[in-house]
Amino acid sequence: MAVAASLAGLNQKNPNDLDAVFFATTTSPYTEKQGATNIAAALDARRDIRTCDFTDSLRANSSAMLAALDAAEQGKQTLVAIGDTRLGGADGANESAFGDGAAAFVFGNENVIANKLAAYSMAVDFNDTWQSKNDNIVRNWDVRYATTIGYEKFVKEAVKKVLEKTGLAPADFTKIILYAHEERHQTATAAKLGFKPEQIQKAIYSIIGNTGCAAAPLMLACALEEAKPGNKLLYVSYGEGCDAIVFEATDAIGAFKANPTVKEYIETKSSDLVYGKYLKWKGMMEFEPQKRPEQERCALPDYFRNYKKNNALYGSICTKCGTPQFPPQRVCAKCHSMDTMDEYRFYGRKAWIKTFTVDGLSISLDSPNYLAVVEFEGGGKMMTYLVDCKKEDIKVNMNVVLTYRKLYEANGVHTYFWKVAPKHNGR
Amino acid sequence: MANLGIKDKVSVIGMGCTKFGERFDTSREDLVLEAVKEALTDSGLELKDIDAFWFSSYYESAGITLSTILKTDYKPVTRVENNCCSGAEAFRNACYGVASGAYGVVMAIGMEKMKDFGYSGNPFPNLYRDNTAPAYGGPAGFAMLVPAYCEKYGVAFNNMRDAMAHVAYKNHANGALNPKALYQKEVSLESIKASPMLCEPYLSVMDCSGVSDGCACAIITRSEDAKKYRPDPMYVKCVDLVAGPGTSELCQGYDYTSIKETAVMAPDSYRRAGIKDPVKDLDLVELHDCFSITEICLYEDLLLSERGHGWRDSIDGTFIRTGKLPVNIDGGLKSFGHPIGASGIRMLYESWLQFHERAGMRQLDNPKLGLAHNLGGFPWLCVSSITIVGKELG
Repeated sequence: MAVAASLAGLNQKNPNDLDAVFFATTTSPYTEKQGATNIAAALDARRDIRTCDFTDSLRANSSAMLAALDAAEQGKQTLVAIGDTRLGGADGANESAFGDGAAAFVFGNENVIANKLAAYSMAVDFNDTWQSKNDNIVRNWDVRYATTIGYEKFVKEAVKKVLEKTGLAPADFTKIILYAHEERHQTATAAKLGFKPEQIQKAIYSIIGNTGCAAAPLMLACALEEAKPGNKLLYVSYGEGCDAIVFEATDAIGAFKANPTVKEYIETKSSDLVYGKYLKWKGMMEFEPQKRPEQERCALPDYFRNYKKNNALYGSICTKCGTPQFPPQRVCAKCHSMDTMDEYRFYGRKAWIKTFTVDGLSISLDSPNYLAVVEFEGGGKMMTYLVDCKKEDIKVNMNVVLTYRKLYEANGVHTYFWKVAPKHNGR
Repeated sequence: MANLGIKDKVSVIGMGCTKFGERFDTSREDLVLEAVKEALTDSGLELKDIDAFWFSSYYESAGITLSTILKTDYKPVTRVENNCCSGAEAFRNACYGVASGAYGVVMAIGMEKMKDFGYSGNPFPNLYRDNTAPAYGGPAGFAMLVPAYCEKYGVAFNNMRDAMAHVAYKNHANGALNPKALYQKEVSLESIKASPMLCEPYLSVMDCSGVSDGCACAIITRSEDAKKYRPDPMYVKCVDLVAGPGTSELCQGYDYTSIKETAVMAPDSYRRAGIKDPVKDLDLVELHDCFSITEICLYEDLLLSERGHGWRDSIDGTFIRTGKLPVNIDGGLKSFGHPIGASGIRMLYESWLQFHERAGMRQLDNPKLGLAHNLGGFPWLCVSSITIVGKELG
């Protein structure tokens, strides 16, 4: 998800201009192995960049943003990706409340769409929610206590102090973007701080769930999509304390167009995930193994030799006859000339389905697999999985977009690769 | 310089074939000996008369697998593998072995024990060595032909289902007449159409060949020496094999309605074998019916049907046992299953039986020319083989 958000966030920007890639999450698949490097590779960023995973707190999103803002003052461009897939115990309130989501922002000091006016951080070792290393689910202390003694008090302090720094008052803000475990705490606390209902950026938890570390960032994305030049936005995160950041939209925000918007994701949402499949995807039950050989992980040498193909979907193009081909070849498939290839990135090109099948036989987390032959504008093709699509809607010639997804986990290694999804307007 | 061919230079003088089936109580040793003993009796030879062996098996490794079973004393044994063309490949190389003059009498033997694995179907090879390619097997790969074929030729979905069901029906009806087949029972068109779906939009269980154990072998010598052993050898007209470059999966333009490797090689094979009109000149065709849709496309690739008419010919019964040209008259992969190393040679066994009036209820009237075709891989990339054999010289 973080990759998808990052690719959308980069939009037309050149990944070579990024000096750093940060990834904020509380649900990294690894305790040792960075996510930011994986995202950077998928973005086709340079090698000589700073990368960092900000983890272990719901506040990691703003920790990453503040670090990126500091770097921006030095003229550095940073992409901050936030993604979370927090898990509540089965049959519990958290399970219904939580959602999975991601957002990404690029920070720099040229042509910015919003400036940071001020920031205030406060750190308190207050674990009202936690998930230990050996645990699968998030746990929390009684919500009444947590909001009264923790959340409300910390948010009040952070907001009061950052307003003092800027000399601004609640009325000066177009929106307050405020994290809360539950929407009702958000609206109540914002009201107590002196913000009117129309100033509160909607948490949309009832539509997409509480997406943890990505919740406030998604709200910020919504706010930025609607913002006009001069609008002030107050961003407040929460988790072992608070970060409050005051942003002001610049004139450049008029030309800014998110693609896709949060709204487009909501509009193309599917509501037919069956609970059993949810449990399977979240690894919460032991399912009957299929009578097929075990999936093996990729051998690291092979995987690394194919770095650009696997992460950034590079193929090659023959400089003699101009035929793009995937995967990269040394002998041209069309003219058979040897070693006359240039690199050629397939990500971002128009693509459609040539033929397909719904395979009820292969093992997968998401049976049956929809297998498609995809052809690209300009030439080249690949065979891959089709996702986020109803069986009845699959048609030869339908347009698709590329999406970076999990293939499988084997021997503790999570392998991702490119699949396709039906193309909607923005996504 | 292209393939010059070895028409009529070598001949088969004995063949053996096991019962193909779920031979759970039969070991590799048992399978090999069942086929070899039949071939030796058939040819009147002893094992020590064989100078060299070509042993095809997809899953076994090394020549010593065969030499230890047969206790051959320091004879050359080459283990051959070329996907599903392994049997044809062993036969082909054995033919060159005697044609070269290096050996007097040789054996091509293909054996596979598929039923020990404990899971259904074959393992899926991964396309990219780094395991990032999608995982799928034969059924999904060949199922891709269905929507493409319907789209290109404007065939209504129900007609396609019908055409595919007729292939399965024909091959089971033929297998019902074959005591060596895995399945020896006719299956109604209704049951075929009602069988569980595997790969939508359309490939069901009944559209797939079976999985079985089996072994088949052929003893080969130069044609000029054949009459020493019997008056009625089977003459080899061509032993061809091509490996595709895989450009169909890299370049656009491939339309997923044909197996290009077969389509490209067929005219050359026919020319080398002296065949002008395959439907008229051939008396039987054994082709690689791994899936019913494959058979339909192969009618066209082997120039037995016009492009886009394979489906029509299937429904019309052009290729049934009593039709214009019987295809898979022994029951095909559908009724025999597909012990990978053995299939190519099993196909030749049917011609052998037919030329010697030993085909029982399947016997054709004075057949003279037979074809055996295999393909190993996927519709867009495979090895493909065509072996043509005849009752007479010329």
